[in-house]
Amino acid sequence: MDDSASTATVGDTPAPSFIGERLERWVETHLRYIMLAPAVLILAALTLFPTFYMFTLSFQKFNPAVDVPNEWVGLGNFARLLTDEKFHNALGNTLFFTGAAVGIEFVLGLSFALLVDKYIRRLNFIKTILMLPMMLPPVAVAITWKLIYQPQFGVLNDFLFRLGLPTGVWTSGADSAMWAIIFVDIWEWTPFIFLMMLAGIASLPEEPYEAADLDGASAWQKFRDLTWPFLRPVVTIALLLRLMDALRLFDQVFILTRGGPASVTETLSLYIFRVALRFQDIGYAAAMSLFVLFSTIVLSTWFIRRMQMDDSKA
Amino acid sequence: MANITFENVTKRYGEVTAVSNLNLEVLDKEFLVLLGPSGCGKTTTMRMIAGLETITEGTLRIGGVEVNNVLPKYRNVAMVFQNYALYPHMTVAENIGYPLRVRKVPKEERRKIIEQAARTVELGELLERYPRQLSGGQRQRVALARAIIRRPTVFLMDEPLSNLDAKLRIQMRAELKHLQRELATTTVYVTHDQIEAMTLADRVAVMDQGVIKQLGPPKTIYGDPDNIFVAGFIGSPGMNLTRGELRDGTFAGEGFTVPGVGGGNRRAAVLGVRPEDLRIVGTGEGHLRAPLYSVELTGESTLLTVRTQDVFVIIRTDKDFAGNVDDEIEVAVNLDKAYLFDAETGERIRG
Repeated sequence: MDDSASTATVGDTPAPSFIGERLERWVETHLRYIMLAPAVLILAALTLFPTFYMFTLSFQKFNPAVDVPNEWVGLGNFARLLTDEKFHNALGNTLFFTGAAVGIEFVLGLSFALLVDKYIRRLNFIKTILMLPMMLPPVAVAITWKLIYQPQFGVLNDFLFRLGLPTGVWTSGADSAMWAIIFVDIWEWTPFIFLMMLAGIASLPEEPYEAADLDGASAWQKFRDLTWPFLRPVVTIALLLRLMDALRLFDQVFILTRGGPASVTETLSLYIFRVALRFQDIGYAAAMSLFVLFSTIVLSTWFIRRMQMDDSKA
Repeated sequence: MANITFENVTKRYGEVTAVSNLNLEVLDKEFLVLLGPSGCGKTTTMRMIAGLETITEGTLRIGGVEVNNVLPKYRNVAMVFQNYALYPHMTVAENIGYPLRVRKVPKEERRKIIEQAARTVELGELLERYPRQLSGGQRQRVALARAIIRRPTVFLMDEPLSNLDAKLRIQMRAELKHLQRELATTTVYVTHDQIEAMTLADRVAVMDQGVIKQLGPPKTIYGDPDNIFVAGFIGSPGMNLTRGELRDGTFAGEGFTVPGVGGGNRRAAVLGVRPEDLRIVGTGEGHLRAPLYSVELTGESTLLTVRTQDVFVIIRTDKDFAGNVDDEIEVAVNLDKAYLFDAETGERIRG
């Protein structure tokens, strides 16, 4: 009793009452949970609950009318995924966009990083300029590009016209719309890859390169046998982040094309958005969201495993 | 034929001169050790041979051919790095075979040469391992095997043993020496460890502040130093160096005199005597009488320190020496092994 009293009181404050003392001890032992609780509650309210709610909704047919309960349809919503051509179109568009945009961003970002590291290592302001697009809010970027692409008074067509080159309708052309979006994404996110690769390159050890110089390796052999394996962990992270982000592409499409013309640029996120909020088909939208979430998790896990496998071999 | 010739070679980094007007010939099949404290320019000298550093002034020749502007890969020089510089994501076999792979030697042939090189350095069992699965000594062997596999005209070794523990270092030292004889390849070896230098070298070049202070066989470097720097750097514990005055061949230091050392008259001179060239003698027979400051038994001998005014003198004596701190002892100098130096230039006074 004496011991516990001395641990619970600090300095020469008077000994608290029995209940006060117990409360204080309880607070002391549970302090970390008390401190974490608000954050956990907010997270739960904003992510865990909606995710769980989406999960339950995906088995129901949502009824927009007030006071009419939703209908349970089992796996019906998921079955629709198999035959919905619009969904297949959106899935194809998303995969095409992700492959093209992330692929080109990666090649450009890595090349820039290698060039900058080799030739302008000390010119920090060039690095800063190269990173600017990434620092702008995505919506602002999309609106800016919408104006640039605008067929009648956009800068791009004006520029091409003055040079005597053919102009285009860009975001409303069936062949050009997707590439117009891909181009904006490349412009915006290549700096991210560039930054990650630059950090990776800066941490490369020097000695193996000197050894390779003496062993007679060419520049390409040094890249293939040293730089690439050394960079692989950074490459994994950078690609993973870009893949996950690209798969849920929404804002650029929403502002630039709204999925058009027809639906050649409709992505999964945009289609889900339309199904949910235009057609009020919340149950089906939930099923699609769940599908996208699940595929992204599977894809990421597979990707990480693959890269780690290569890594542990190394 | 692979002799290496430095002609008035200078290396500057901005304002800093790392190597200054170096003239040195490394003979064919010779084992030359560059020895000196850190920052003395020994590693820079070696890296110039490798082509990893450019040459500011002067001419460097390998086998009679000027190589100032020849890329490292065309010099046919192999190097063993201090931290081994293995390729971490390649197996031992891939590491050893890399010089052949970049030369597009066919796989079958490569395999044979790799196995042979691995046998030479006793790595046969470990060919499929990765560097991080190896001990320091094993990594060292991989680096060696990678160096010998393409039969270079010159071997360069940059403190290759400094990351190994003491026991392994002695073993690898013997192996290195044996290997170098067997391969009969010109070798330049950089170290700050004088024991390594003494045991391995045909000739040692002692460097300080970008200049070679003395070049010669280990025996000469130890027994006949040209200047104070070499005298003080070689030997452990170091040579006793005492400032004093020379009058008609008698050296007068603080609190003691040594007659018969030669050298005529000089106001400022330094007398150098190695701890093993001092002996304890009876009263009245020695040159220096002083109380014992410390007694240290090293196992094979006992190190005594005596203090006279501000000068500490170390004496190596028998391991069975019995005596206590503050006991007065009298010490005599072996006059054949007493070295005189000019206190200003640091050069040896001979004669």
